[in-house]
Amino acid sequence: MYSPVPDSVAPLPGFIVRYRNVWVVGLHVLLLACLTSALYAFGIIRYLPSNDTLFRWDVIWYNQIRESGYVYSETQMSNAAFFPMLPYVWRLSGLWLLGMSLLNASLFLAASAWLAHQLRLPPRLQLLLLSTPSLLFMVVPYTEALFFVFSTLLVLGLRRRRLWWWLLGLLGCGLTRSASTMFTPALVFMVFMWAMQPGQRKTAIVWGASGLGALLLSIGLVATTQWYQTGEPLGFIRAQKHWGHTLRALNFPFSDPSGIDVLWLDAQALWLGVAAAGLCTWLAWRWLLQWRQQRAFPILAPEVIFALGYCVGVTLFILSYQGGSLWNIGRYIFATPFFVVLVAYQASLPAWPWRRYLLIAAGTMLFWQVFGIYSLNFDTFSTGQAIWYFGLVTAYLVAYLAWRQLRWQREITMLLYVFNLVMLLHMLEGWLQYYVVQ
Amino acid sequence: MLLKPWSYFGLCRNVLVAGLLGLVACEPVPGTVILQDDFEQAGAAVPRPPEISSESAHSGSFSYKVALASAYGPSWQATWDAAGQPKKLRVKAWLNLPGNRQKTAVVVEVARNGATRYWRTLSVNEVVKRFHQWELVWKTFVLPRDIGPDDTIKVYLWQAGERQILYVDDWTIEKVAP
Repeated sequence: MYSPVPDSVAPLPGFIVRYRNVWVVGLHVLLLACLTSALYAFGIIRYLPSNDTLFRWDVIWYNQIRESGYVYSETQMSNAAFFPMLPYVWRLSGLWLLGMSLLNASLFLAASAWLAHQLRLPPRLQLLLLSTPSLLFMVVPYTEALFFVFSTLLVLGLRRRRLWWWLLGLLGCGLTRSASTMFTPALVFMVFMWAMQPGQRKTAIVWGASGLGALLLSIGLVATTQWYQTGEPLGFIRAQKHWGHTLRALNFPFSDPSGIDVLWLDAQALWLGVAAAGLCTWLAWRWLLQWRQQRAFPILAPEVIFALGYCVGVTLFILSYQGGSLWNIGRYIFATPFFVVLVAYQASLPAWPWRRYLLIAAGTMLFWQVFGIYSLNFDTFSTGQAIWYFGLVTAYLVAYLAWRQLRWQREITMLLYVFNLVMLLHMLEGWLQYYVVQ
Repeated sequence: MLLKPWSYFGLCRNVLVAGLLGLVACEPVPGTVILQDDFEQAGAAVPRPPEISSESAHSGSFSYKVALASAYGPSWQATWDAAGQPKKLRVKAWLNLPGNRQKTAVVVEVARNGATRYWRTLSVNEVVKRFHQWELVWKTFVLPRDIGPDDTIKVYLWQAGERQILYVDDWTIEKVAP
């Protein structure tokens, strides 16, 4: 079991220490409220979530399902592309837009406190992760909050070896979003890796088989619901083509319809997906060596392997179905507990030599050519400006990677925390105005 | 292993130098102007064309107003030969947008015998983040390698989907040396 090194703290009363992850969530809510009210009062942000501003983008489709159930069309966009958990929880709650947003935010905060407690996240790192800008989708009637809750359940089920948590988590995720597309390969990969660890083969197979069963059950429930309401059991698959989700070739340079204020997040999500793919390939190679030559296999917690597999799955899905347009990848990766698990794992590793970070930074700067930064293709940016923009993105990324060994960790954490919150509020404000923020 | 304090100074210095170099390199590679329109000539015409407006201008007194009724803004077209056989084309424009809701794009299209063979865009809402003020947008388009002398190049501004009133000024098309 990995566990990040806790912050050094002065002696505190027992109940504060015991529930410090809950206190950190409370502190975060207070700081967020302070910053939001100040920026709103000064006119720096002009829109806050309300019943007038939340009826945007996919909320309209979820509300349609909430009010009148599923509709499927062969020829145009229809709500059959969406999964039933959120609209039916919304219907059962009897809440309207703002109420549902607050319920989503509360569910997310509760799940994140539980996750942080179980992962023994240091308060400083927990605060930093709570400020992730993509978490703006936790305060709107989107699926992110419910997906976070059920993913937390499955992650902690794996960590604590609670089979029912794992199965309920998978089932809930499968009913909330098209999770089985990303989860199935991640699950199969995890089972292969897990089974190779001493004495774990039977456990891995049981968990893998029952997990696949839970995913199949979720697909069956979605199909039955849609068949009952529309007569088309596979509407959630067939409707995808009308949303532009069809297999297509990669189109270089990559772009982001959400624009430069979201691109930096999506670019980092892509980086994480590619890094996860590299790690998974290395693990698969070691698995082969172990299988053939009985060489030692690296022990990695199943939840970490699953989180890596999920990131790879999301990245492959986005690249295969969006053809180089990266929107959504940031929220699919960062607004999940899988990102928290990976950051916590990274924070638990022994310190790396700074040479390694320099190499990573140099490689990352080369990698950004996928956006055409060294050619003339990066819109409205000269090469120098594009290098500066992505240089800052790289510095941000390296700060997270090296967080555990930063000498000025407290100062850098606060800097990142405030910057993240400002970006979160800026992006939320854009979303509330119907701007393209996905 | 932690960095020594003086190493941080070195790192900061390098970042600063890189940043300054980046800012110095703000200007794109110069190109040969094919078209430059500040809409002043059209503004002086009598009667003045309806799309030319004196409500707002980046330079001079007039700009091109894309009205709600119109999906298209200023446009230009020429055969590849007449345009000077460019391999790369840079389109620059100053835009004044009311917000980020509209999907406005500068489109470069290459057609042969009426059939479109190349269609690329500069999505304005991806790069303009300040509204009710003049903002420069530009992009260099790499034209297809097999473009022929009689192929037609079209450059135009297009509002896809929801439309809003916006202004265009100092519309420039340049041939960029390979």
